[in-house]
Amino acid sequence: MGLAEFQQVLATLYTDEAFRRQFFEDETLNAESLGLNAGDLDLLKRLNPGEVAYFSQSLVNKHYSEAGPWVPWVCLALGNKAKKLFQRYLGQRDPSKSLNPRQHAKAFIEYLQERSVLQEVPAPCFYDLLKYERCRLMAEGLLYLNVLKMQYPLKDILHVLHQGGDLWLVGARACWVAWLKLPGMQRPLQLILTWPSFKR
Amino acid sequence: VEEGAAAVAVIEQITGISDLPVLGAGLGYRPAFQRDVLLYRSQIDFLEIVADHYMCPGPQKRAELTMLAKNFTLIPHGLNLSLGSADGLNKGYLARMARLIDVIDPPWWSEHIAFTRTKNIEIGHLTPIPYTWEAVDVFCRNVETVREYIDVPLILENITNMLQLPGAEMTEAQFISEILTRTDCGLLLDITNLHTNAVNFGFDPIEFLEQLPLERVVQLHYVGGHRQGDKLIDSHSSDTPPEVWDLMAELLRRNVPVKAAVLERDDNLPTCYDLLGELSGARELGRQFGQWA
Repeated sequence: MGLAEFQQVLATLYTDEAFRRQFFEDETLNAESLGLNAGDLDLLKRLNPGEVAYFSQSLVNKHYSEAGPWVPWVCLALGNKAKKLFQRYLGQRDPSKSLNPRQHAKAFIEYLQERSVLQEVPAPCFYDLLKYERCRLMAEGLLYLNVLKMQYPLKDILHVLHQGGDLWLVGARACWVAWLKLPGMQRPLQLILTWPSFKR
Repeated sequence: VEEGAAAVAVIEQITGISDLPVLGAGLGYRPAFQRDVLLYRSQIDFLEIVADHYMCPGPQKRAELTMLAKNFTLIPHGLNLSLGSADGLNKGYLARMARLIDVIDPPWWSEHIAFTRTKNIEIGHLTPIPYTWEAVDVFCRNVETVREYIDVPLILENITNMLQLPGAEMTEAQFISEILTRTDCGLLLDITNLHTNAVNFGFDPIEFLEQLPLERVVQLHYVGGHRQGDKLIDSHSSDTPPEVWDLMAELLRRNVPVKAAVLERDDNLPTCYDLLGELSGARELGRQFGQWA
């Protein structure tokens, strides 16, 4: 086995939980199926499974701690499920693509937008929140203009999250969020319009 | 001994490491420090920036980089070149690094002795290289490729190992010595990483130091981490512990011509002002051993 094959198996062990479990637990694992010979497999089996799992978890923690701050409201809404969902997102993504934290955050939102990934049915306004965070992340570059129509008022959603309340309490009201970024502006201008402007 | 000293002198002459400027006590720049670094400019000798954050800069990052470059000497510190990858280097990444270095014009730049990717997996973190002769060859070949793009001196950093790889043909110190000897690179000795590995894997850090070509040390890193059970975690999240200061003093006592030391704080980030004491401590230590004023 050459160094390239050795590193390939290591990288898979670090990033693929299912492979890692099979590698360390399956006594009948066939070396050839991994592109290795028996000696190579014996060598790699000398890795400490606990150390590998620990390192793998540290990778998840690192990515989450970097990407999470880009989508703070979604992480707040998901509470202690956020990191587990982020780990599941990492597990299904294409590992060959290098993403920066902002790109990871955007891909995480897109993963959450596939409704089936959330086992419990979230409050309806949660999907508006996902759309909002995604549009906010896209507001970069020299020039940006976007308008998002929401079914639930953004200010109410953020207020409830800020107060630690229940998103199911947010009632439907039409809301538009607009972003405008022109050359020379460091941050986009964000405008929120809710109709009717008061709660009935 | 005389032959050895002569060889060292020749290597230094070739690499120009001894000609690099003395920078003093610097700070690992984080965006949260943007305003404060200007406020405390007189107490921060230079800044080390994470190169990856400025490779495809938007207007905000470009403005930040311009402001920093106008006020400080900047040292770019790369995270994802993956010099240990047997599949070779990502040429796009390397070209972006070259462009950044061209813009900043630093006295040197740094990367890690690690691999972060294979041909189809981006690990996204620094991971240890198996300490084998094949890995030495791969690493040196990759450094040669880097040289085709960047002629500014490159210094290489030892990493924290969270796991030990089987099949090693040499120790980590021997591996580092070998690649430094075969390339024209300097050493960025991360004192905290050395201390962390020594605690976690039970070896003597002084013996480790004695196996290194210390005349190649250009820069130091230091910071504190945290304990998790019986392990030390290199989280860059706390004040530099006394053991790391002691190890730094032990190194400087050996008359190693270090040019710079960088406090590398990331997590649990205090204000810039709160870190000035540690910078002052490193500056004082350098002064004590005649390294930097």
